[in-house]
Amino acid sequence: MNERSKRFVGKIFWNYYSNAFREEEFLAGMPPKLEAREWGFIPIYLLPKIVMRRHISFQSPSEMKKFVLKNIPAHIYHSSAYYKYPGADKMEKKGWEGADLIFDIDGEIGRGGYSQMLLKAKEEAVKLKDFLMDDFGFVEREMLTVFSGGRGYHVHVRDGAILKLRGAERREILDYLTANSLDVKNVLRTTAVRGDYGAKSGYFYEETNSGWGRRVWGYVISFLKYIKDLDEEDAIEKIRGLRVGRKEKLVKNVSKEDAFKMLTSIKNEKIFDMARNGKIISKELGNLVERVVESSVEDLSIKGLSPSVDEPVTSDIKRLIRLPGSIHGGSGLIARMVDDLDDFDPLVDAVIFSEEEKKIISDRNMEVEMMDNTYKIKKGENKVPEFVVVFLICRGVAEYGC
Amino acid sequence: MRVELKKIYKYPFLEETKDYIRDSDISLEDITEIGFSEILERGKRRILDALDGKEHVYDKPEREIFSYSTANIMLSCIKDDYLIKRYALFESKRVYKSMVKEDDKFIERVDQSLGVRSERDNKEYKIHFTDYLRYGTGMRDPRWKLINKRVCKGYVYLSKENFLRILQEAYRRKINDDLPLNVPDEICKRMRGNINEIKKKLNEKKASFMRYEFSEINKDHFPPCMKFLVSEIKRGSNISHSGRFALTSFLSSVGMSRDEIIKIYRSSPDFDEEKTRYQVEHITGSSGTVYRCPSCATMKTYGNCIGEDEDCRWVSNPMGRYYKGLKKQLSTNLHQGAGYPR
Repeated sequence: MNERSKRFVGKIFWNYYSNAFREEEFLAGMPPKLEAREWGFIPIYLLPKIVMRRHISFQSPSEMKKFVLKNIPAHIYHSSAYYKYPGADKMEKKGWEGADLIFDIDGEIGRGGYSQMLLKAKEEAVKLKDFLMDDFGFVEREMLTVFSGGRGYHVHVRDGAILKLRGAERREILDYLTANSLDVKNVLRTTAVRGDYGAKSGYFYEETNSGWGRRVWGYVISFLKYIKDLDEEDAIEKIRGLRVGRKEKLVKNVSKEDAFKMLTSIKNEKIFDMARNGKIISKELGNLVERVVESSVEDLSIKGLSPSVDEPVTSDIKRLIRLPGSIHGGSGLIARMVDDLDDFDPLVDAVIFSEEEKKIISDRNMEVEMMDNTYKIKKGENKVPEFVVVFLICRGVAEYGC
Repeated sequence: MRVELKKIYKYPFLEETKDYIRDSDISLEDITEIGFSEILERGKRRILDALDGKEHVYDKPEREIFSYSTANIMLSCIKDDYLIKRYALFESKRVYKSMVKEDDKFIERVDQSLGVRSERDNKEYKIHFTDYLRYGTGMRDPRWKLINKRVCKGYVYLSKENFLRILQEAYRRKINDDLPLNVPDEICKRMRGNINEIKKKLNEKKASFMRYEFSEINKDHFPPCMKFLVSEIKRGSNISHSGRFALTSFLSSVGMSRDEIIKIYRSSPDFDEEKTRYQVEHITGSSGTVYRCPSCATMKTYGNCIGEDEDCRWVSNPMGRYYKGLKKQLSTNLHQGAGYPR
């Protein structure tokens, strides 16, 4: 970002913040107990150098407004923690009094570009909220979902019961959600048996009494049902195509013959009924079940969830989270609070700048999807709406062309 | 009242127990009088039994009910961290063993006074997940990991035994947090005979696990995570199973003998020589596998990566960090001419 671009971005960010502090929605994004939070800012004028000014505290939004307008920030963060002395410059002097539970989901960069990545992140955020409601018992109004302004979503939980949880306890929740260290034998009880179970000998699988056990079993049953109703060729292909995880012993692919045997077992009504009742027996199915379990854990767990876990003993930048309603200086998008994830499109709903056309000088050819349009940008000078201008300057791929 | 006393005297934290003591109108001063020497004696016994790792035997409810308070007073006069932790561990284990024999109705009375709200659901107990995490996170067996439990609508479902284990842990923490109490010097003085006897036993115990100083193995180059684990043990804290595993495999890899490793664990409040020896031998190869020190990534997963710093960069295993430090020192020494004949 050159000086001219910085002046431009600084000016339009200033405009945004000078109005924002009067708006109800922006003020609603202020975290509860504002005065007990630590604040951090990355100023625009030092960019591209990222300098975090932290250990700052405010008594009120109006005090914060003065600071923000004087030092226009590219990024605004607040602590998930509440402190007795949020402005103290050493972590151990702050006096930790509790912290919100905040989950941070980032989309993984891959094929399909930015918009695809955001969609993927949204799916994971939906899954996360289901877990938080079904398993952890939170209700919708206790969770604040915010588009991060960058690659994903933040979910803030501020329910009284979780405020005092310590780092290791928070990590347990994270491990639960990501299926970290989940062992197949903990979700399926396996016993080797012989006898009259519809097969001469083999493994006896049972559902285990755990949240994950039930989830995985449900997945296994619906997979088996799905396969059972496919025509033979497709079913065999599906069986052979089961993704195999990190477990080395499973890396060997299923032969066509074995896949056929597996399918025959599933088609046996007696065996299928047993499975529905939480039990599976048979040598062929055993191998299949293990494969299905592997891929179910992969599908069911939440991906891209990073440990925004508050660790009261160490100082870590992760302890700070973007202020809902503030602008993400790396995209020019706003960290918008989201009521209904299904309806939310960040590339429309988080766009705040105008359609007025401005000039930029791009350093490459590219396409930008925003406001339901695709903007073709060529290397060199372009004339595009202000929101595209801000987006590209913030991403660091173009400069302001006056 | 008799029948109740027989039941409640084993659970000093119950409201009924506290009421009983209050109603008996016996003051602190009274207890230190000659006539109550048996209560003092029993209080001391509770502590000494914990120190020896023995289970305290109860036979006289009407005396024993007061001995809990006298034990607390003695512990508060001595103010020794290790002793309090050790006592809390054994006292809570004792309570667990009695609770297992109680019926569900009685257990409902117990959990309230320990601040863990529970509800019965058929044969299981359900507690809020935050309570579960508070007391279950320190447990070593992976079966205690939240992911291996049934979690539904904010509640964790536990078997009776598991639930009682949680109560045991809640009680242990309560003792740890409550002690030492503020006891006037005057009272401590009156008990000095008993207190000195405990102190003597305590010092003998401590001498037996005299801090082991690393000799040839260069402790300065231990990575911060391992330094932390060692310091936790020395402070008398219980460290997690994964932490022990990591530390044992690390110490063994840097060349420490089994006996030397066992010595380090000696200051742990729940030290059990036989068990520790078995575990150390297992990790260091008695089973045929010599376990390697877990990688930094694994350390992180289990929350054992503490104090990561600049020198941990480009290192994927705590061992790497140790060798890096040694190498660095070696090259400095060479540079300064150390090790060469002058």
